[in-house]
Amino acid sequence: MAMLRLQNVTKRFGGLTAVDGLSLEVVPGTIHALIGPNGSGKTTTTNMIEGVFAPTSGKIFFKDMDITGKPTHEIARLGIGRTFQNIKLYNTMTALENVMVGGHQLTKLELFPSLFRIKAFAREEKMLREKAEEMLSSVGLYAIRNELVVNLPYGNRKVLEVARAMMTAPELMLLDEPAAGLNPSERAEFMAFLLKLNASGATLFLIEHNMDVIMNISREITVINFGAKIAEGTPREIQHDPEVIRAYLGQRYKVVEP
Amino acid sequence: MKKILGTAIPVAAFLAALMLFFRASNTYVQSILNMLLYNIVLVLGLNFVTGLTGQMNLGTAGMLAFGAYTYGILTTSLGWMPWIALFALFAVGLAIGRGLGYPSLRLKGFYLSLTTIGFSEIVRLLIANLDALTGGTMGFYNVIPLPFLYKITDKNSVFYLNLFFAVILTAVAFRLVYSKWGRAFKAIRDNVEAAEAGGINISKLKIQAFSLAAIYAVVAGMMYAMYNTNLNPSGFTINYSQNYVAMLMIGGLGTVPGNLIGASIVTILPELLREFDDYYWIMFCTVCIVMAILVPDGLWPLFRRWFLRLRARALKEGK
Repeated sequence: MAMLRLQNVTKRFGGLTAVDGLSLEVVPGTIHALIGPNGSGKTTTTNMIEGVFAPTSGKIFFKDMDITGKPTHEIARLGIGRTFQNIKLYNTMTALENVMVGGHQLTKLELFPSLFRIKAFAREEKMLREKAEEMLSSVGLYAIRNELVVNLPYGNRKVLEVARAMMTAPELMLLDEPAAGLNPSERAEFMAFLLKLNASGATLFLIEHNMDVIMNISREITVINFGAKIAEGTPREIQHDPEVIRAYLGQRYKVVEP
Repeated sequence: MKKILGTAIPVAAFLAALMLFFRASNTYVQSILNMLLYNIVLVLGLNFVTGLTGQMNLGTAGMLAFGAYTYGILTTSLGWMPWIALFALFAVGLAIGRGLGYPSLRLKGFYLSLTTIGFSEIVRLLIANLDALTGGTMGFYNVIPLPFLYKITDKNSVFYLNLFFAVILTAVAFRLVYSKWGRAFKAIRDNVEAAEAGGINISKLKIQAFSLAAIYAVVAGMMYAMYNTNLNPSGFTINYSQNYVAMLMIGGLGTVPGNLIGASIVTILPELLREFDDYYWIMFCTVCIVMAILVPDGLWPLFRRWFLRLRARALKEGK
């Protein structure tokens, strides 16, 4: 059973074909990277998986369940978490509150009953708070839990976004350029963090430009160009693929065998 | 338990003081205090839509009119039992909430504001022209108040009843705003995509926010109708809707104490400025503009910052 399977997925915006008959399979427990030049359709692919828009044709399966065209919040509830290319946090709230919102779907009480079921509501609120505090301490942000997120440094915000998505313990995490904008030491820290996340059981599907990150942490790479798949394989295979070198990596990345 | 008493005792003392003050006041002050009560309820409701979910609603006066006339017609013209009319009002509130909530899923920014203004004006014009039902521009008279524990005959007891409703609705607002619901509403305002990707059902919550606002507004309408006993469409123009947005902004978006402060200031300040005669409205607008420039977040966040700073200083000195 594949964690995620794209079957001949095509997306057209008017005359532009952003994704063209893309098929791929993400094995459970792996770190799978999707790479390609700018405008090759990577973010469009994530958006289709996450249900922001439906593919023009083709099907998307999550654990053999057809999720093509389902609304975003339902897909999220099935167990797919997401972070964004440009960080999308709730800026008027504190770090803790952000993470608590991430756990919204863990709570059961509807709006009207929550006015009357005082005990159950307090229990839920306590559960959310404790879980969020636990999550923040596990990612090392407990000390800044009461800071407004606008005041946090970039690296912390990146981690916080992942922590928010991890509140529901999603089986699959989509990470859109997780290392973008991080300096080398922050990047190394963030890579260690992602590996820890993966070791704890989450399957990661990431879009990334930084070769350092991709070649070091991913186990499987899919390369797309103009929306179509041009190569697939382990980092080693990809580094040797002439087509990938031509379209994306450039001659510099050609590995010289000793 | 101690915590509950810590809140309940000061609140009870404040309410008792307010009732005593009301008894000792003249009719003019009494009517302003009553206006304050239903303004507070309206702003608390508007807070769910404009303050928390971040959608500009300029149809509050229409919702208020809808509530006031529905209550008036059901009890006075049709002779329904007032308590049953109150439940009918909840249903009306839900219906208005859905009616305005659905367009809010597709319309953003100015377009939604225009839609809500349109709703408000349609309600007002219908009231003005459906003479047989509403009395048209001549007004609708002798609205019967709710019987509550005792038979309500004079304006004083209507005020106490309205105070009861305002307290209940404030408590409900506190409960919702400072909980997962308040956070989810704010999440929609701050970042829709992130909220959706976090499993929050945006459509449902937006409609719920509008429904809450509408229910608060129709109950405020009932409070209005019971105290004033006569209704006129000229009391529900778009100017009033703007006033409620001003209350929200001056007090502080998304915070319940801010709503209470904002409603109090915008209700009471113009009355205090009446001494300036012809210029009082200009004075009031100047105050609003100055506040918008100096304290754009509203007064409550400012007070909160001061309070936190004072406490920090006190803690430091204590050490």
